Amino acid sequence: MSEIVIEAKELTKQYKKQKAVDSVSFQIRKGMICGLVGPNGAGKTTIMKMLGGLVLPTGGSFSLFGGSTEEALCHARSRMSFMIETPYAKEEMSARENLEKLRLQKGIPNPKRVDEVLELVGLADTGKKQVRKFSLGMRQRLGLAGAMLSKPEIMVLDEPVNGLDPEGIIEIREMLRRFNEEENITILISSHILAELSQLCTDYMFIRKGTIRAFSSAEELHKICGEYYHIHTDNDSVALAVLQNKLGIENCDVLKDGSLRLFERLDELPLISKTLYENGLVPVTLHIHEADLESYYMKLVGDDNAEYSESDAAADKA
Amino acid sequence: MLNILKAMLRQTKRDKLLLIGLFYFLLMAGEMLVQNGADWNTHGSTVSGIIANTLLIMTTVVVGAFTSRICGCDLRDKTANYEILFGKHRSAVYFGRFFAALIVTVSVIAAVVLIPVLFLTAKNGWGAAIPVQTAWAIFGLLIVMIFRCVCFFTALTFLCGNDIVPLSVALIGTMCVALCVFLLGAADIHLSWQTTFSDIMTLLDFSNTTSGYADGKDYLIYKVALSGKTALRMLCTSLGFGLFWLFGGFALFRKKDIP
Repeated sequence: MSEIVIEAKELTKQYKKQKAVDSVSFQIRKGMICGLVGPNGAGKTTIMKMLGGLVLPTGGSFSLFGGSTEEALCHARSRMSFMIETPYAKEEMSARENLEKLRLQKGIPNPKRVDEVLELVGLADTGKKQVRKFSLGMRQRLGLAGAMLSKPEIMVLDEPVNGLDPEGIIEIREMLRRFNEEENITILISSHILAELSQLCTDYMFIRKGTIRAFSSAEELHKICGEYYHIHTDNDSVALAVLQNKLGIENCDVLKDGSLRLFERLDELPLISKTLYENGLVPVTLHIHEADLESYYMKLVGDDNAEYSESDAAADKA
Repeated sequence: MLNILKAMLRQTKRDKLLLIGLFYFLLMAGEMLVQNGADWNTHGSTVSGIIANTLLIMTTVVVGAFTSRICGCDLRDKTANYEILFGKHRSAVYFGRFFAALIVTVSVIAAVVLIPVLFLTAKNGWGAAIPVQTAWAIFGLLIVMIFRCVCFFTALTFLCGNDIVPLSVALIGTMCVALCVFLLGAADIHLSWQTTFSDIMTLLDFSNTTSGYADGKDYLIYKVALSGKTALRMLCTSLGFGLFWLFGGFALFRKKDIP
């Protein structure tokens, strides 16, 4: 298992009348792209600000790269980059001038690094154009350029695709995937739209009203929310063996009640029915379960009246 | 902290608002010099008194404005947040800006004072309006008071989180204290205020003059009411309160959530 790079234990932020973050605990390992998903006001930005040192916790603790003292956290942050809320930019300066100032502030000795990151995010041709004339997508890319300036090991990004058009979202997503795959950068990314992250993240944390409601890997989420066949026969254990041996199906699992979930060959229902029948099995239930990311998300974090209990979590995971 | 200091000094050189303010300040200082009788034949000691009277009100305004702009501009648009996110200690963020403000304000005031004084001294000699040692002592005390002023406005700027409020305090505060001093003085009430604003006004008050006669000429002589005791009090007050504001402001900033 890869090393833990960010760990929070009972992390809490209490304002005068409100608990913005309530005893949150989580671990993020090296190489993960972890999505922090929740509605507006759930506490995502507050958690990120605490990790970044802008907001001081009122309870609990957290560590970055294993260190939790002030000195260790400052040193750890020099190995990370953050893009929280509005990306950094002085409106009256160009992209290059903004990054040059950042480079000096960060103490990066190589002036050519500015050209490298401008090239990386596709802003090399902006010349002396002032940031005030940039589109939202260009500003987000400039923010990412600033985040990449110091070759971080971890990136903490707060809704980086907020307000972008679909093309812009795809661009940013591909860029982040490249950073993760080519440079092995760990990414903690927040959003209130699960669909935006569903094609990027390896793991998810669902947050609502300051508390973590669920953790899921991408694989688990896909199983819970993705499209599948739900099959129940008069002898499910035999049905499983038949599907595996006769049709070579591997991607399926068994629910607690013994029924089966099939995640592959979803366009071959007639063949599956026929195979089961030919092997003396009577399908009792055979229906397709539509991909329902939204319902899962709403159940976890969206509805004030629906309490998401541990049994709900277990049922979803089962 | 050194990186932040370098970045701030670089940014200050490119800050159009500060450059316009500097230009206007230099223009006003030059205009006041001419209006108060300075010309190419004025002695260095005489012009030093004229400059002091010019800086009476303007010093706190200029120092407050420059300090609030240097410290507050990056707080307002949140670029200072990124220094903390980069892993800089809050102390580096705070003191880096403080030192940048101190360097810039001392340089500006020193330029306004020293350029005409040194130029005219080289051309016409020092003169007899004020002893050289007294002039240097007053200049030295002025630097210490600028330090106190920068400490105060640094603390205020970091607590407010922007440059607008401290700038307003610099303008309005100076005018209010000046007005109070004037009104109370008119009523023959003299108080020992020992505020940043009033100490500078006391130090640079060269309005009391007399005349002397030597070598067949009349000379202007400044009656500077600066005793050794007063100078020591000003020095201790400036350093003491300056350090109080500086470290008090940092202690609060250290525990503050940054929006």
